[in-house]
Order: sequence, then structure tokens, then C-alpha cells
Amino acid sequence: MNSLLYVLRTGYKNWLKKNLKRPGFYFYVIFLVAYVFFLLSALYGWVVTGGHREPEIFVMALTAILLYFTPMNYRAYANRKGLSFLPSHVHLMFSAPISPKKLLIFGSLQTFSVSMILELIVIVIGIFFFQFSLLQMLLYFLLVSCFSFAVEFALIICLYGNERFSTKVMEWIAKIFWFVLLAMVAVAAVFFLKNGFTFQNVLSFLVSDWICYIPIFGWQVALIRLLLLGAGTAELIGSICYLIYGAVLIFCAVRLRCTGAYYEDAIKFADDFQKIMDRRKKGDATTAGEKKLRKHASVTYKGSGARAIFYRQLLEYKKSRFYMFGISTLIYAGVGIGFLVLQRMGKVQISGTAAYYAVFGILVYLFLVFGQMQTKWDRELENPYVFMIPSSSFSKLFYATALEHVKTICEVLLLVLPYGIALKLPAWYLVLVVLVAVIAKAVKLYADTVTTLFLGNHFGTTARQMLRMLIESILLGIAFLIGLVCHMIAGPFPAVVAAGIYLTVAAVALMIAGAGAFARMEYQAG
Amino acid sequence: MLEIQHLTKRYGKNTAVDDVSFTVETGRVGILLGPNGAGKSTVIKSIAGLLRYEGGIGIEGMPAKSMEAKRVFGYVPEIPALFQNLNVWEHMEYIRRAYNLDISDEEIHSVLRRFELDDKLDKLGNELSKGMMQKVSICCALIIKPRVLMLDEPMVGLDPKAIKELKEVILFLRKQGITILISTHMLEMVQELWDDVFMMQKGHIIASYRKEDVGDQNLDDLFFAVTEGGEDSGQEEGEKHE
Repeated sequence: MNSLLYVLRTGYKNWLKKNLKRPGFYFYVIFLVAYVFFLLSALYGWVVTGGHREPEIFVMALTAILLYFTPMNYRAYANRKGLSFLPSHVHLMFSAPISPKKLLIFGSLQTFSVSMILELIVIVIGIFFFQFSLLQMLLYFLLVSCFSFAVEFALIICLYGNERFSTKVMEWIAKIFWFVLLAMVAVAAVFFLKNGFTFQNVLSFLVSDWICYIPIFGWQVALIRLLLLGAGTAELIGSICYLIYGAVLIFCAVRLRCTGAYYEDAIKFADDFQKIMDRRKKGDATTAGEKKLRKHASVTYKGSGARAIFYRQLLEYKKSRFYMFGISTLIYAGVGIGFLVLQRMGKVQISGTAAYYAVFGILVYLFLVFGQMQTKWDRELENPYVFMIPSSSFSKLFYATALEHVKTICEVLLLVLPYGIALKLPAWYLVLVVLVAVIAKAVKLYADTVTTLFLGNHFGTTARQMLRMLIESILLGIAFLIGLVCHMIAGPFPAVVAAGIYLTVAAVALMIAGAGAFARMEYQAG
Repeated sequence: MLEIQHLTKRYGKNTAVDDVSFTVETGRVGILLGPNGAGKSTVIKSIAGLLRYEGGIGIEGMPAKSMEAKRVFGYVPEIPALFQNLNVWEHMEYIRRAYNLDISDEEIHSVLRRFELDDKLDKLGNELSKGMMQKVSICCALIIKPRVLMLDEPMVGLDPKAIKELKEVILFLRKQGITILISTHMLEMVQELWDDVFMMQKGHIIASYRKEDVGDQNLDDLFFAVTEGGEDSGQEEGEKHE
């Protein structure tokens, strides 16, 4: 374990040293601290000023978090997923004389270090916001945080490291965790259908005794309640069950024979995990592994030069299972349909001028949420062949981003159409909304090319994202002001048209300014 | 000594390696040859303990998956992957701790110097080129002072000087009685190194030769004679498995 801790310790130390040299890191830390401070002060306002300091609320929140995350973790472990080994671990650790069990603990330590920080935050919140005694929180730390970590380590060793049960048996164990999860959801659904979905009912559901009898997950809740709320029959029985379960599991983990048969499974995920890590470094939030592709798809290339980029992207999309669409498409459709349903149920009260503008608020929010995902055009910059195509940078940028605009049109339509039907907006206005939304998205997209060109390899991803956000905010802010002025003078239609014209000019200007990103590969951010 | 006995590896219904057996005796250099998809990588990964398999693998008479065997076994994979946030020297320090090695800083420096890494000690894993990473990977395997050394395509990505150095190291280790297994496509690179050659095709060992049996015959000729059925094979002097 000495060597593994050395890798962890030295790795973190070097990571910190490296980042302290980057200006973007300081922005990131300031942002993170401010964000945490904002969350804590909001929580403080709700808990202390709002008079919600009852211990039951704290326990209820912990119960909800625990019941949501723990079964998912267990299922992932049973499927031999959920541990993050990298190719470097495969190369330098798996063939070394290190116990495979210790390697399992190491593999989970990296994930657990984040959980440990969260546990410490929970303890601080418990003491300062909910006024639990130090002794209570110390007991919580030892019996819930530390013991639960030990139990989870043991579980990982038993599920990953066991070489006695076949893959089929392991699949069944994973299914059992699913069934427990589904059973809990079903019980909750029945409860809320019967009693109604109100905050009070959520509270009484999460503090009800039966939760303490749910195997494993409920037993852990029972232990938390025992320590923080006091002893009841359900809490006592559940806690004893959890302590026995944990002790048995730890005993099994120590005794289990493990020669490293799990390495083969870990290797399969190591390459995928490395790719995900690399993507995250570039600011891509997607986490999926290799996607299934259709083998039979074709496209007829028309024209030459940079157009080839467009047709190649089209071919790639044709090979994709869901063409160019993904989770974001579903969200846009879901929001649109959800809006229509809620409006029909009388839950949405938007009318008059607000109906014309609310859609832009929703769209801006969704653009922000999905703004971090790396798109096809981003990946074009990673491809050296693109730089060698004998066409102008501008046309390369145009053809590399053309399908992005088509995707935006489709997604925005999925939202705007039900929205327009719900609020009975004229068709020409909906067309206008789609056009302006696509142009606004284009501004966001081309702002990214500009930041890539001007910051390139000199600054990290964070600095690039911040500059991009600054450019976007200024340009969209001006559009908002133009719209506002025109609205006051002439009403919604001229306001949207004026903002649209301005955004088109801005998008083209950004496009011209950022086209240089396709001129030389050295601009690519690493 | 490295012994592979009846090694079989299945991926679902596909059998990647079927009942493969061979031995590299102590102080000899074995070469594992074969076209793409022959099953060489599967054999190598099985020996390194990275795969589940049927059959037996022995390192110096010990089961390959035992801690004792791993302690005397050095492995250089085909694609090196280093810790991104550890520098070159820290990789050596990690190996020293993981293998509980009794090796001085000076000894480690001399290995690094041989591969021209002594001026790159502060470079992090993710700052090195592929060739540099391969050199670090080789140094990691060498400082273990292994009794059995296995190298998977070790020359790929190395510059000519490093290739020359690696060849010299291999010959030196052979003299020290170290058992070495090399998997490679670059036949001309191992021409002067080999003692035993094992040729694989479609998951089987189809031929094996000892150098003393075939004399100075070119590895190229032997390989193509077996895989493409050429005439100048020298098969009668070796052992061809049908």
C-alpha cells in the first residue's frame, strides 16, 4: 500500500504544483469557493433564518441522498463497473507484486476521496446549522462515515475480487440491487399517489419506520437515525442488522481469495475511462464510452474541398444510432411537451407580452446547460487532415459547423412548436423565434472559435471557457438591450427582428474573426 | 525459466489462444512471432497476469499470479502508459517501493543514463513523447532486476540509439542468466538476439526453432517458410507443429 499511497500523494502534489502556475486555476478556485459559499449561505438562510433547524430535516436530507446513491453504487460494483482504473494502472500496477485487493481499495480511494470531503461538509453543516453536539457528529463520523466506507471497500472486494461466482451469478446479484431500488421507487410512488406529493409528505415518507427495514440501504439509514435522532425499535433493529452485515462483509473481504481475475474487466474500462478523462480536460462533459455504430450507411459527396468535412460529418451521423440527436434533443422535446401539458392542466399562467419573450428565457437556460458538451466541430480541430484540405479557413469553419445549426433548428423546433401551440402564438412569430435562437446559438459557437484562436495552447480550458462566456454575455446582453429598446418603441415583433439582425452581424463577425482556428493546428487547445 | 503449459484463452465463443505450450529456458532469449491476430498479445497479457485463462504459466517455477513470481518478473507492454502526474524519477521511486527493491539511486541513474533519460527526470508522464514513454517503461522493468523479462514490441517508437542500447542490455541480461521473451514483428531487430523462436498463427504455435538447430538461418526465411509454406524452411531441423 506504501507504493500506492506514494502514487496518490505525489500525483496530487504535482497536480497542484502544475495548476498553481496556471492563471485559470485561480479563477476556478475563486469561482468554486464563491459557489460553495453561495450554496452554504443559501442553505444557512433556509435552515437558520427560515426556521428549519429540526434534526429530522437533516436526517431526511441524508436519507434521501443515501437512498438515491447507494443502490446505484452497489449495482455498478456488482456489474464490475464503477471503479476507475487507467491504462497507467494496468501497465504499472497490475503486473506488480501488489495485492489485487489493495489495488481495489486504491481504485475506489480516488472516488472515495470526493465522498470523504462531502462527508466532512455534512459534519460541518450538522454542527453549525443543525446544532448537533460534537460527540454526536464524532460518532456519526466514526460509525457512519468511516464504517460505511470500510463496508463499501469490503463490498467492492467481495463483488469485484471474488473468483468463485460465475459472471451469471454476478449479473443476478446486480439484478437484485436493481429490484431493491425499483421496489423502493414503487413503494414511494404508491405512497405519494395515495397521499399527494407535498413537502410535508416527502418528510413523513423519509422519516417513516419502514425505511429502517429495507435491507442494507435502510439499515444504514437506521444507524444514522439512531445516532442523530435517538433510539426507536426500528432504528435499533436496523442498526444492529447494519453492524452485523458490515462485520460479516469485512470478514469475507479479508478471507476472500483474489488473484486478480478482475484485471481483465478493469482493462476493458481503462481505455474508455482514459478517453473520458481526456475529454473532460478539454471541457467536454459527455461521459459515454464507445457508441454502437451502424455499419451500413452511405453518403454521396457533392463538391470538393471543405465540403468534404460536411459530408463526412453527415456520414458519421448516419452511422450513429440516433443520427445527430442525443439526450439534449430529448430534453428540448420534454420541456416543450411538458410545457404544453402543464399549460393544458392550467398550471402555467403566461399571457400577453410575456408569452412572446418567456421562450427566449427557456432557450437561453438550455443553451447554458448543454453548452459544455463538445460537439462535432470541436473534434474537427483534433483532426490533422482537416488542416490539410486545400480550402479557405472560413469555408472549413462554415462546413464544419453547418450541421450544428441544423441540429439546433431541430431541437429548438421541438421546444418552440408545443410552446407556440400552448400559448397560441402566430406561426410567423415561431419561425422568427427559431431563426433568432439558431443565430444566438451560432454566436455561442463562433465565440468558441475566437477563444480557441486567441488563447489556444497558452491558457487552460477554464480560461478559454471564461473568455467565451464573457464574449457571449456581452453580445447577447447587447441583443437584449436592442430588443428592449425596440420593444418599448414598436412592440415584440420589431424587437425580435432587430435583435436577430444584430445577432446575425455579430455571428458573421465572430465567424470571420475565428476562422483562423482552422488555419494551423497549433491553435488547438490541449 | 518461463513455462507456458496448455494455455487456452476464450473470449465468449471465440478461442483466441488454443492449447499453447512452450518454454523459454533460463538464460535464453525467446521470440514470439506471428502475423496480426495470431494471438501473441493474448499470450503476453496472460503471462503478465492481466487475463483469465485456462492452463498454467510458471515463472521461475512459481505460478505466474503469485506475488513471489511477480517480484522477479519485468514486463514492458506494447503501448506504454505512465502516471500522468508523476515525473520520470517518481516512476522509478514508485517501482522501487512496489517491488520493495534494494537498489541505490546511483544504480537507477545509471539505467536512466543508458536510455538518455537522466536529463528528463522532472518531466511528467503526460509531457513525454511515445518514444520517451517507452524508454521509461523499459527502465521501470530493468530496475526490478528481473529473473524473467518480457517485452512486447519493445523497439516500436525507439530512436536508433535506444534500439542499439536495448539490444546490448538484452544480450547483457542473457549473459547474466536472465530469461527473456520478446514479442515482435520486427524480425531484423531480433536477428542477433534470439535463442528460441515460437511462431504463432490463428491461436496455435505452428513451429518452434532453437538457434543451435538452424544455425545462422535468417529469421525472415524461417518465418515466411512456415507462414507462407516456402521451400527454404529448415523445418526438418526444428519442430513444426501441424
